[in-house]
Amino acid sequence: MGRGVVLRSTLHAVATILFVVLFNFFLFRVVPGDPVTRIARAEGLSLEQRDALAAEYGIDKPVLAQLPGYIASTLTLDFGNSFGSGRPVTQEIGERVGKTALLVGVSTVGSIVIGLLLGVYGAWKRGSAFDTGSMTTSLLLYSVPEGWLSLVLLMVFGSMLGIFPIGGYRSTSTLTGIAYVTDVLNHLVLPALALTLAYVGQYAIIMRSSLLDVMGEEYLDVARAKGVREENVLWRHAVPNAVLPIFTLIFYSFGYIVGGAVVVESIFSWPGLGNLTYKAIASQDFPVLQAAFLLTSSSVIIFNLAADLLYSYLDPRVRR
Amino acid sequence: MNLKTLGAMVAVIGLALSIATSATAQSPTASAAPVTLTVGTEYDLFTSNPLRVCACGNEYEFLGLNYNMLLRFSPDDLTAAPELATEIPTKENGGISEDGLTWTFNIRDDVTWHDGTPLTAEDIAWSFTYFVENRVGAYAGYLPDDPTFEAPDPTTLVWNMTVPTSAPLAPAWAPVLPKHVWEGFDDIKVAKEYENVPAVGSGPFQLVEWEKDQFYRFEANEDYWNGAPQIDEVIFRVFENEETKVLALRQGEIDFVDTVSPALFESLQDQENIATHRAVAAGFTSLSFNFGGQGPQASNHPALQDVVVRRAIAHAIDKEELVERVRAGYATPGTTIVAPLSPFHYEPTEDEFINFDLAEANRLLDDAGYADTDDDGVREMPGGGDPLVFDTVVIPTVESSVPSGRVISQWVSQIGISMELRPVSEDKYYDLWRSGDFDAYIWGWTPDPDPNFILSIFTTDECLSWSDGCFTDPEYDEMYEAQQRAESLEERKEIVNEAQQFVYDEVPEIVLFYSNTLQAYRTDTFEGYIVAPDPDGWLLFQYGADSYLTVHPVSDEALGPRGTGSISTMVWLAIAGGIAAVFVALVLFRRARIKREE
Repeated sequence: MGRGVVLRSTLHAVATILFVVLFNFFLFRVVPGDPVTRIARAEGLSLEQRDALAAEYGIDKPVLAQLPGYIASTLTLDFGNSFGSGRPVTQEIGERVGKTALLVGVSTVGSIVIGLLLGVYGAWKRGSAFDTGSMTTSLLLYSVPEGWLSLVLLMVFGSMLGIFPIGGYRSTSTLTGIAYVTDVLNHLVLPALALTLAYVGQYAIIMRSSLLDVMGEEYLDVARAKGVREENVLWRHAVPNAVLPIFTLIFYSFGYIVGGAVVVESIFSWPGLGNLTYKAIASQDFPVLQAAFLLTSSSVIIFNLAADLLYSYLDPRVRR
Repeated sequence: MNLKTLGAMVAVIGLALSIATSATAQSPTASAAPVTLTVGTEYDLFTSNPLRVCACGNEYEFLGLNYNMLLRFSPDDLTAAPELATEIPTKENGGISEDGLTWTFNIRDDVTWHDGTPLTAEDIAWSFTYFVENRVGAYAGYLPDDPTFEAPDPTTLVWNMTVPTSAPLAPAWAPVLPKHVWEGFDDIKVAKEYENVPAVGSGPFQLVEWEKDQFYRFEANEDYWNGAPQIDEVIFRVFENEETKVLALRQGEIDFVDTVSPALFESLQDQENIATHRAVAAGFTSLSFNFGGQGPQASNHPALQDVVVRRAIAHAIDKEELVERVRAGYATPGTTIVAPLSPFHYEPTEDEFINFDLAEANRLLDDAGYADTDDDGVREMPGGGDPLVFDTVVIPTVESSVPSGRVISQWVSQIGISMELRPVSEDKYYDLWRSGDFDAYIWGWTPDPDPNFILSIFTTDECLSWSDGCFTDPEYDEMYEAQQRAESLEERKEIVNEAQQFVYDEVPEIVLFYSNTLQAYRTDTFEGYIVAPDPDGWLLFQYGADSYLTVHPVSDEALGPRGTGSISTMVWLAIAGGIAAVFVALVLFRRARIKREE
């Protein structure tokens, strides 16, 4: 793969990130109100205390005058302290990244693996009861609101059957080692299940239609004529070609892992980045928003870049 | 290697695994587990630093558990009662000087901080001075008019006032902080960054762990001067929504839930091992009017400057019906701004009472000249000016705001007034409030038991600070000052009553209703909750740590850890082992099949 391609793609990615950083600046400030008025009203600050707070937050200057400071601080990764909690933004986000990655990561992998398998077998046994059944179920799950799905799972497995805990990522007992891992695992099951089920349909459908496209190709008949076993025709010839276009979707999904899952995190009280970002938007906590948006954007862009490069490496037709 | 050998290997591995897991399996011994009261709440702590406290999260519950006050709220009627001070100073007992400017408090000598250091009057003097000098928002208001504080000896605190005020009897809602912990910071900015976990205080419990958005844990103070608690820990578990919170209560993962909505409250009635409690609230929902005063950009309607129009609107609201429709009956129709919970509440007389009377409302408007000249159902200003169309802001995330708005706008349409509802986010609301770009809005207040705060929001000075719509009236401002300077409780009560009457008559805002706070708890885990204030108050989240000191387990059987789920380590390892075994078997089976076919 030419070095030119790598360089060009990378520069493109960096430029996109910079554009996103600039765009975010205006995006945050487009929402009505400002963080100080809210605090002033809640704490009954006098006008002079209000102005002092605005100066401290750096929002007393006109919007465009705040831009250089914003760019400088973003590029040096100096995000300051959250307006809400007063703690360093890097700490707020750092505490949650792992938990988000765990929940959304496990769910994404789950959705992809199960979804792709369903799609493959659905296409291969097209028209069968399995095909119709799996497509209907996964579409149904995809269209159902995540919040509702989460509550149903909670009610059935948490409340009625009492197998899994209701909410949180850990229990309140102080546990260490294996016991801690088990505790988190127990808490992870329901939210991960909810998130996995919600997105299985996405991959199942795309994989199925992609494989159906490939199944009509002549080279499969050639392989069969050569005596290749049916299951190898499927797994060694058809699927690799069918999965190529889905690649981008898969990498895209990985990129969004750090974005979190607001609804599921909320219902299960899972302390993730989705929740943090949502609250930061509601209270206009600029420092947190700055960092969180940068994190998600960079992650998506970088994974996209990886997908681009890997794609051109894997697909012989694109390689030059 | 053939299938049989591999099969044997898998079996051996599986056996070894189950032996290993049963060896490492640990079941927590019931007797070692602490006795923990678990409370479910939707509010995390906003901060664990007393200097940053606002009423944003559950900080006041934290303060009540972790710290003591100079004088506390009496659990009977919320007036001042002794806490760190052994008695209320009066002129008779020599606690208050003749000129009313020097108050002397006798301080207990048996109080220690959580780290063992004795608490003395010096801590109190230092704390209050710190709050005043640094104008700590939440507390400075209770220490008005630039007082100074001295501790001539460890059990004597002197409060020197510049003007006589009854502020100490509010009581001053400020926690006493340990001087030795807080005096070392360079300035308040640095002090505000101090994490303060564990929080060193003098209260019956100590905050020892705070996992943000998950839970905060308090440990009992065995050496508490007012008697050790009968439980070992209190844990507040944070839930993002109330459905999950209630599910956890039903499942037995938590013991208590605060503030459920009427619908969920009803679903908890007659449930096994669950009891419910309906408390009168400390606050109210209100319809507030805008009087301009925020600046030249304010866009308030001139008709609202006329008290006749405001009174007419008040006559057009059927508060009993409103309570039924908006709160399913779980509220009390509103009257005056000082809620019935407070000992200072004034109930209007029959003559003063503004009853629901559409005919009267119409008559008032007709007589004042607000006629509907163009016959479109909406009256205009006298002489045919602007129609009485009021831009009314409602906030969907504020309880009852939008439904109240809908119901009220229907009523006022029958007296020729059009209330145009504008639903906005909380942030947009702050924007509009600051610029004065509204005619009315529906929100509410949860004030202190002491009326000083809620009276203050109608003063001229509070415009763009605490005031809703910048109402201003010099006569009212004088009344507010006078009740602060009152020399005796009786005198103050009289003035506070007058102030409430004034607000009720002048209608800068209409108190719609006092919502009930709905709580629920399990009866099979803990008992001993007391209602404070008696008899209409709450079981927890009171003005003080009352219930936490009386609550105890129902039986001697320990509760054990909760909320861990029932899949133990053993089972997880077995599942993992099982999956691995299945996978291995499939691979082997496939290989064997390929071999056979060749």
